[in-house]
Amino acid sequence: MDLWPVLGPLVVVLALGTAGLAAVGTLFAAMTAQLRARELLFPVLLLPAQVPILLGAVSATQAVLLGQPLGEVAHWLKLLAGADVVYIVIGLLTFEFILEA
Amino acid sequence: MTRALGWLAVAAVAAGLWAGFGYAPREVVQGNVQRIMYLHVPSVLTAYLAFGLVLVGSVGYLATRRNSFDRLASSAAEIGVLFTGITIVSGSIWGKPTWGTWWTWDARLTSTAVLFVVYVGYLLLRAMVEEPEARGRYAAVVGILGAANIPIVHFSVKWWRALHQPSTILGPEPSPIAAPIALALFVNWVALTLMFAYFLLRRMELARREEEALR
Repeated sequence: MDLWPVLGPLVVVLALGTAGLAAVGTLFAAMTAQLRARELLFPVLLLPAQVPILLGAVSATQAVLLGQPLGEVAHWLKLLAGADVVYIVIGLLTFEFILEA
Repeated sequence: MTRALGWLAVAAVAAGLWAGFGYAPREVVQGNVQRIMYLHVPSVLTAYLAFGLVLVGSVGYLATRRNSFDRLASSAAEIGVLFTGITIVSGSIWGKPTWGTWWTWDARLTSTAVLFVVYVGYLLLRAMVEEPEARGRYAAVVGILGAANIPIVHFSVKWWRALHQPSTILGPEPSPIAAPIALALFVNWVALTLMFAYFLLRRMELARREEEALR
């Protein structure tokens, strides 16, 4: 399929989705890296936090690939942006508590 | 003091049972199955209260480093998971005769399941860290992120799909619930909240004694 016509909207969705996944993933990875049973704990903590990001990113990507304009998925983009802000802000505020000692 | 609260909670639960099974009329459409609502709805409200207190305890612990905040957060999380479990199980039992299925990936069911997994993860994390100070810090971060996650999950799952009826009590419009049913619901809500308060005080006291014994 030809991606060029939808590349612009696709990049927007990818950027918003990736930022959220990375923010919450980094926070939990830094925490669980110091623990025993990290292979178990990391996905258990990460999955529920990523549910909204995955739902939003997948739904928005689907719409974009079907050729719909970004306005059709504005609610998903707002949700992704909101989740990104929440995860990044909480990540910045709490990261020092994870790394101390 | 705590003991008196316990007896008050027992009395309130007895009153709630009477209100739910004796006082409230049989619902016209659903029949007696509807009475599960008197357990289901107060349980989920109590669970939200518990997770709110987990947030309070988590922020308080990171700000002050007082163990009492950590005990509040951990105790409230345990009881919150219990009440979320009751909500899911009672909803399932109601859903089988009413919707014809034990479980479906409807919006509110899914977000409640996610809520359950978040706080089970919180308890699992606590169980995996030996050192009390580090355990408090890590758990607090998860407690804060978990609470912030609740509204985001709520909207994402709501736009994803919907079968559960919208919230009747917490919505903006005046409640269309018949007065006796609303009253029975209210009595049961008070009863479960008192029961929650009793469990919480007992659990926090137990956590305090555990800390003393291990010191």
